[in-house]
Amino acid sequence: MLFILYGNVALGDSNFHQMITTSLGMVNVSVTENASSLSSASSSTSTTTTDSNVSTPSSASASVISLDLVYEFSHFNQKSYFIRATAPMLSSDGSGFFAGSIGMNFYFSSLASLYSFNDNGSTLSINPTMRFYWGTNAGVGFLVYNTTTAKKSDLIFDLELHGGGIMNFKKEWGLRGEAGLSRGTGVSTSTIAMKIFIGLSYYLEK
Amino acid sequence: MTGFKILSCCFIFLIFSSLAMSEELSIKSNPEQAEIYVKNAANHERVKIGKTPLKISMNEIVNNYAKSNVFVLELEKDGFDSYRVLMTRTGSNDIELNVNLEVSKNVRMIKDVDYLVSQLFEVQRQIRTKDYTSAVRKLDELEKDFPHYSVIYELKGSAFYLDKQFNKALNYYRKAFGINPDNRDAYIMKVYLEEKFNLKQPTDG
Repeated sequence: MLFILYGNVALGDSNFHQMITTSLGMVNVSVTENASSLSSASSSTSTTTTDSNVSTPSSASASVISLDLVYEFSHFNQKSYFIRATAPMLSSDGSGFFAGSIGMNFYFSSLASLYSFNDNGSTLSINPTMRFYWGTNAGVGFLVYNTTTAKKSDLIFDLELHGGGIMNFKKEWGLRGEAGLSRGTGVSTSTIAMKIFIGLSYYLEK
Repeated sequence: MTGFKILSCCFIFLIFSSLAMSEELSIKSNPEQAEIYVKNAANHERVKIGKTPLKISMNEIVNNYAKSNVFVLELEKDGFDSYRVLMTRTGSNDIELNVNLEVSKNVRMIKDVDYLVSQLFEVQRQIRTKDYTSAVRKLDELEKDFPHYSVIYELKGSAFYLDKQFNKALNYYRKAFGINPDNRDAYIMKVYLEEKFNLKQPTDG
């Protein structure tokens, strides 16, 4: 499976330019702690005990202004592969969501990136001015959240579905907006996150 | 008030999207001032749209000139080979074409021949001053660049003949005559040397 993925990535058309995007936005994570059979003595103070030996899960949510970095490194006509990193910037209660993932974008009726072709000194470049896409990515995240009584953290596996658009306002620069929904499964929690980002994308040299 | 805000947002979005959707074709060439033609790929009708450098909207080309989403763009300039590229309208893209026009084959040939003639004059001067070694060296260089010109081998034959290297001279006269059977001087010298030294012409097999 990894070999197929690597083969696909390596086969990307080298005439397409790689792209990097820096965005700022809001990540809203709803956290639900998994049901566990911890004894009341060892359970967190935030859980409410309904049984003498079983703790019920508590839920929390975290809204964090986050920074998102996307590096699209391999392009086909209407598809690209990318790696993504998300880190918290501002949070009122100290909660945060760190994530790193790999995924792919599928573009609707436009090229995935700036295409330039050189033939004996003559060059042809095709620059898509408006692009819409949807995509998916998977990765790992580290979540810090607050319950009513305690600050907790968890490591999660995150699967995201997103959609967005890029509007180029100069040859290399574009304005990018993206919204996504992700489902995470962690060691002791499961999460649903809504993400909205807006930022700038920039074409790198081939 | 809310309705006004929504309308304003829609208006701004429409302006931005229409700006982003406007496809532009930018054509540049080196050298500039090349004539640009649009040719309909189906009926081959050709229309001149301007000279380089040119920026034109794809809508204008498709609606006013090509009358089709697929068309051939041709660049022409005197003294340069013409350049053709097939273009098609796909999504909303800005297209930038920078063409490096190549000097026409005829002009290139004229330049080459001019260079050859000037070098041959130099060789003749060297032969007149009996500097046969330099003459043969220059002819060796010319032979690499112009292997199909019989006059180079003929002059080599003459240089060896005057240097009294008759066997080598005969070989080069034969080669000159082999490349160009219309080279009368090479033929005369070949026959003369073969008869004078009683050298037999190599026969096939």
